[in-house]
Amino acid sequence: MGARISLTAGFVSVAAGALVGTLLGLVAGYYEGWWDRAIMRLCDVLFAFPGILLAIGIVAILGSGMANVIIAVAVFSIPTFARLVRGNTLSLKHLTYVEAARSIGASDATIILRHIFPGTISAVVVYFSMRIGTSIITAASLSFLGMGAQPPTPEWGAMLNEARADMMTAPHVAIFPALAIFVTVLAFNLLGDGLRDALDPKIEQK
Amino acid sequence: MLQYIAKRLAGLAPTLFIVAVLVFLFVHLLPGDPARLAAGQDATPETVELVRQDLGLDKPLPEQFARFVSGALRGDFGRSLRTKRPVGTEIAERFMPTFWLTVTSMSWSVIFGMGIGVLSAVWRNRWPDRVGMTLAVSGISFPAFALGMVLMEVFAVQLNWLPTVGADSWRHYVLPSLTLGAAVAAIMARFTRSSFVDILQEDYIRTARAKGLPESAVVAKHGLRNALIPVVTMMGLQFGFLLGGSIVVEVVFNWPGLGRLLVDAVGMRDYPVIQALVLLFSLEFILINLIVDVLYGLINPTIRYR
Repeated sequence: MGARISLTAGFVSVAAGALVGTLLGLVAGYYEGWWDRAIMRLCDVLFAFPGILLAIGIVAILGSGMANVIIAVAVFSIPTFARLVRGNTLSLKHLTYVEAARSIGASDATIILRHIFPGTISAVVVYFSMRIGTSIITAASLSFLGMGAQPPTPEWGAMLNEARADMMTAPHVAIFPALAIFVTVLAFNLLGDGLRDALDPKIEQK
Repeated sequence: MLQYIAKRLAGLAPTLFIVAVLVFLFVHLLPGDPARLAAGQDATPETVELVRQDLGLDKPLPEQFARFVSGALRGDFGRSLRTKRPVGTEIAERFMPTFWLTVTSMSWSVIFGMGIGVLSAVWRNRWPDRVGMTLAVSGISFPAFALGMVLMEVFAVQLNWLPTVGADSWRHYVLPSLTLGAAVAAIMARFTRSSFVDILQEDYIRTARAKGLPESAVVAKHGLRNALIPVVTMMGLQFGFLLGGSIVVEVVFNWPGLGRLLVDAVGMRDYPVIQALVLLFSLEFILINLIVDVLYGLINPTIRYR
């Protein structure tokens, strides 16, 4: 039960953040100029809030609850994806095959989606898998602080918060949710490391 | 160099301005009427109206924003809705415990993390590397609040070596700073290792070895200085992580700092406090990043600032 909530929260929030971030990054990198400045300024502002502070601020506005935590964590992932994709787009769009596509009269949308987007996918996938771990921890932290899922919803962070009162008599109530978070996040982090080694062309095969 | 710093400070202005606008709008984005929130649940409509005038919420938005900014510049953020004391005083009282907690966590985790990273890179794919990297990947996967609970249970409750909550002596700092620094140490270790592994492949390292320098001198003089450049950048980013992480850790250890003040304020919808804290946290973060950029130039002579 708790697994479903925590995993969904981690996955959905990163997916939403990655989608918006990738779109913004593509637009910023491809059109440059005014779009680029506006989007990167927005990212700077989002980056100006350290760690989970941004998420806490959003939850303070929207009110506590699991859905709002997911929105908060998603917003918190947008700028990193936007920067990553923008950097890739900037270098990709000067390549010959993109120029070729433009010279045969392909529209901007076609060039972005068919020719540039595939080139950014591997970086996004690697980052995506590494980010899920962080997001699960962030979502669990917010619930632990009482801003996310409310007991008795068996979200892992909320379970730990509840178990805190009974640490003396029933430590196992705290140990198992903690282990569950640890093992899940560890799995996603190792997956991310593996994917990075496999997909990142910058790392030579040694 | 000074010119560069001045230019960077000027570049911060637009970001700071937008942050200030967002923080200001925060009150107006809150669900419900802020005047009613301030007056309390069972205030009469007349009282709410008085509170609205008192807080200046009946004025047009630009005027309110000007008031907010000039107040913020003078350190005046109004009064806390919960304690009725000035927000500035509340924050000043809580600032030092959080500051020291962040500093102690950062110090141990950077030293420890870089140590593990260098050892792992030098003995790559041998047992020190395996042990170090297993510790590091566990470190980034274990949530801080769970680690804090485990440490508190074992060392404070079961073994009774260290105090559980509060911030009165250095012994109170041990467990919270261990908890807060663990993830940072792990990230620093991984990052130092990968940066060092790259450096050790460079030609100048081979040259240093070829001219017969002992391996320790090669690592310490030729390797470390060059590997430090990306590591310092990483440190800056980690500071933001620490500021955010301190919020969670302070709740676990009942620490009398800014993080817990923020969580309590969110729980009570004490918006003047939330506003001031969010502004303070992001200001700190922006300034730290600036300092890191400047440091970056000092240790890397190949960068010329224009």
